[in-house]
Amino acid sequence: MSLFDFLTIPLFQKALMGAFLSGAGLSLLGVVILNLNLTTIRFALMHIALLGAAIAMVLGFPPLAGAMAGIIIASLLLGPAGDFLNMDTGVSGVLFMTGSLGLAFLIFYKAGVPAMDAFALFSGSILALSTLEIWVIGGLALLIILIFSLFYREIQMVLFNQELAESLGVPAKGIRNALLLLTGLAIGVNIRMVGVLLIDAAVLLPALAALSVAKSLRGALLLSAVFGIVSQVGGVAFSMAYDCPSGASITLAAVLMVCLAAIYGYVVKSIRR
Amino acid sequence: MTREAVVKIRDLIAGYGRHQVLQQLDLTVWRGEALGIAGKNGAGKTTLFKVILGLIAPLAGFVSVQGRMLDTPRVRRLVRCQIGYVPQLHTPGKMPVSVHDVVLMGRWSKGFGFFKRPTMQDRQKVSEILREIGMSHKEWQEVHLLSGGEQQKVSIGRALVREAPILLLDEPSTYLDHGSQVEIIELIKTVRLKHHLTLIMISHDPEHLEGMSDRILLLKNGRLEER
Ligand SMILES: Nc1ncnc2c1ncn2[C@@H]1O[C@H](COP(=O)(O)OP(=O)(O)OP(=O)(O)O)[C@@H](O)[C@H]1O
Ligand SMILES: [Mg+2]
Repeated sequence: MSLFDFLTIPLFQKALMGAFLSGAGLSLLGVVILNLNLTTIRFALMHIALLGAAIAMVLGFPPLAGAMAGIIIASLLLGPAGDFLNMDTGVSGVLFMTGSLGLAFLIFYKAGVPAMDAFALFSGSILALSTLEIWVIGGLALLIILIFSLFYREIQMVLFNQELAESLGVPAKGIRNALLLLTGLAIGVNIRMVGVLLIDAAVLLPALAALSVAKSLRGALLLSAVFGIVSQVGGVAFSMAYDCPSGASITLAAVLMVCLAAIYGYVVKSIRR
Repeated sequence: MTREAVVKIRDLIAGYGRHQVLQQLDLTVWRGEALGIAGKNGAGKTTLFKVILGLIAPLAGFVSVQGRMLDTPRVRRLVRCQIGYVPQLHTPGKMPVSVHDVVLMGRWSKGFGFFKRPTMQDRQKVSEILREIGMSHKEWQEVHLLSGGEQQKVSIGRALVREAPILLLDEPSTYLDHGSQVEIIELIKTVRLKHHLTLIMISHDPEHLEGMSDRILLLKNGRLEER
């Protein structure tokens, strides 16, 4: 089957649509993660998702719902908890992570819930997206783009220097907490799509590539979206055409992009010198 | 001419959680003066600035800025428009941002804000100030590519575009080499006269303050003392 034959199949159409939406919207949050030093947050959220799934299974709810609820609650708590404990948000994430992992294992053991069923959530499959999930991804992508365009200057200030932003009158903590919530949602959705092990490819790598060439936050956001779309859609299309696992294809496409961006940045710098 | 108090602090107790950094501190800053405050690392100098900016609520005592008591969040927000703040030098992060944009930040809640984009006037003001501080030629450069001295100038520029009568400078010349120190001190003296500013400057080293201050106080054991 050629790529064009695949495009007529709804399953693949949905996969490409999801890849496009995720690339266009959710990739923007990579810029936030890199600037707020949140690279540990995804681990924290993963483990909390596991805890949520464990609790949901004990109570007889679908594990996915529990995982999502866990992620939402955790990303709402992450900022204030860091403030309260007087810790960097990234550091308070570690605390969340280990705590929830321990608790999850305790629940698995005590309640006799099959742990593997919860872990299955984390493998992710872009080919298994339902129509409802596409709508959720699209809505989230739209919300992210809307917030970044409405509050561009405020977000720029918070990412530049949170304390400075606050001294200028910007409600910096509120904005940071909103960004944390969006980041949590984006990570949750991406876990569903590419799986836990490859989450960085979807969320971090496009932003990493963008930040190495962009000259302004606006440029970084636009390039993140472009790189996100190219790696996600490109990766999915490649996996269809050559019959490879989609997660691996997306990841390799993103890695390639980071390398190209780094080389481009290096060349531009040496020419300028 | 009667002297007018711009900042007035009485019996201030402030700190973080149970750790009281400032104890029964009194301070009066008069309009138009340049006050230097010296104190060892960790003495609470930056904390004092945060109280004046309304970023930390005092545990006890009385703080007023320009005749307004800082007792509600609303007043604390309003007071931030009256103050230009040059924070202790911080290393800019990974985010690419131009000198112009960093200075423009000083116009937030002055010229632009939530749901209100920066206007032509905001941007002209930025260019004007950049000319004044001698940074026009770097207006569109990325801030993290600048030297420490240049970053400090940009930070002063951001405080000046606020058109605020009070300027707080946290270790303005500490982390610079001698040449840049002299340059920054001259710049501070010039903008003080031109914009009729009241200055409060802090440094761990009184010698840094000598050239720029009318009087210097010492912050010690949570209180201010004459030298
Ligand atoms: N956010 C914070 N949370 C808890 N304690 C803090 C915080 N910031 C400062 N402190 C503590 O308060 C005390 C005073 O700090 P402050 O930053 O005001 O000192 P400083 O005089 O400005 O020192 P430096 O010369 O090093 O800038 C220190 O003991 C510091 O550890
Ligand atoms: Mg300090």
